[in-house]
Amino acid sequence: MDGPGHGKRREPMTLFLLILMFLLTTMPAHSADTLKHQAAAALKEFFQVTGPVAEFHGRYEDTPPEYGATCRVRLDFSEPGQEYFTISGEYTPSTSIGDGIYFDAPDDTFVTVNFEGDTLILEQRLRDTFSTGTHTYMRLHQQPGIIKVTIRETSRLLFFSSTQVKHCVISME
Amino acid sequence: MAVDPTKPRTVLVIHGVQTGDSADLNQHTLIKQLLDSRLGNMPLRFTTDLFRYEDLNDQVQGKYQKLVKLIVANPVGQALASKAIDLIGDVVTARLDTSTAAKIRQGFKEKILEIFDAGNPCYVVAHSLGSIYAFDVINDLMTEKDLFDRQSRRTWPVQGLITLGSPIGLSMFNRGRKKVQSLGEGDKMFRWVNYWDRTDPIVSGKMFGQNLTGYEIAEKYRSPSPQQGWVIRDRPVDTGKVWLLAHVAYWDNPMVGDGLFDMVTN
Repeated sequence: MDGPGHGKRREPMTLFLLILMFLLTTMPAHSADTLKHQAAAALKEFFQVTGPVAEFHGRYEDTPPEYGATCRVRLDFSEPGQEYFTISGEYTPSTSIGDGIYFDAPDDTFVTVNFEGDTLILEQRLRDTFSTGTHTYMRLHQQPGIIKVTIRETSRLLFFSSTQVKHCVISME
Repeated sequence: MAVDPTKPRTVLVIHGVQTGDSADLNQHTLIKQLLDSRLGNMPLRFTTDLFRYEDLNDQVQGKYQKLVKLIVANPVGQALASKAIDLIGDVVTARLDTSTAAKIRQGFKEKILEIFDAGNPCYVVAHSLGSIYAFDVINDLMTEKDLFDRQSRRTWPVQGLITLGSPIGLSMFNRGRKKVQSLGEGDKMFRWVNYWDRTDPIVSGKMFGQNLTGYEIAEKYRSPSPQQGWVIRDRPVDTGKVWLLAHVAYWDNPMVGDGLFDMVTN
């Protein structure tokens, strides 16, 4: 059965399978890489920043009082590969940049970038193992004179998880 | 204020996850026994002390404890779940940007400065979540004026740091903690040795405590810059225990004891 004729007929099929395999393996990587760049571009556009660093001070609303009253939103693009967008509060330790989106993480950790009108939604999933990691959801909403930044973050360790939600309201006037 | 090297050394322990409340904590006596066992006949004057904060943590965890009581009807299951929450829950539920965490950091900082004011050279041994508090407090102290002059260890409120079973390699802790505080110009080095058991699930985040190799934890903070002024080493140890038992088995490990001996005598 395995004569020369059969081998020739198989060649286009093999080629097709190879192309399909190439596309299937490279497309998710490409789209993840695109999401990361989209997230960075969307953040800059949302805050209309042109410089490498922008910082906004605000107040927590509808947030457990244990996080304090004031918050700070920081957008830092000063170090290529180390960019971040975070929220910190008055009790955040001085050693920590805060909670938020980190661009030094792998491309495939960016799972959602949705920018429509006055709302930007970003999601990042950092996984240490299948049972341990952090899922960060951020919603930025622009209203007249204010920007409301919501962060919902779930940390998982083995069979435990904990979610925190904070709303930081920044006055733009 | 200056450290007097002729005074007895103080090994200050900050605990991490464990069961019970503050009254149950005795890790400093375990560390004393461990160091005594490694000293042999060598004369070394030292004391050990413990910074306790478990009662503060328990207040935060109260709601989780109540939830477990509702979910687990079986008394045996309830007891097990409750212990597990105490052991692991601390790490997950300890939001480090809350007023409770700030109180813990402040209390630990004051304890260190109290030892410093008395002139005793202080060495910190931090277990589990305690290693995150230690990391934050020591780095914060390094930013303070007149402390941690790199030319003089007499100005150092902490002479060295040993961490045991630290979760600092997990993204929930290290993604926001990008670097250690540089000490600047000088020739004295701050030493941080991180001991970890390869099956400790709180170090790796692996559900079944699978063996790990080639895992960088503290060493991720190493910098090629000579201005950093830190010597940072990860040291895997075999506690002879597995999974969560490994996480609480560092206290009598000879390798940890030798590392501590080396740090306090050099």
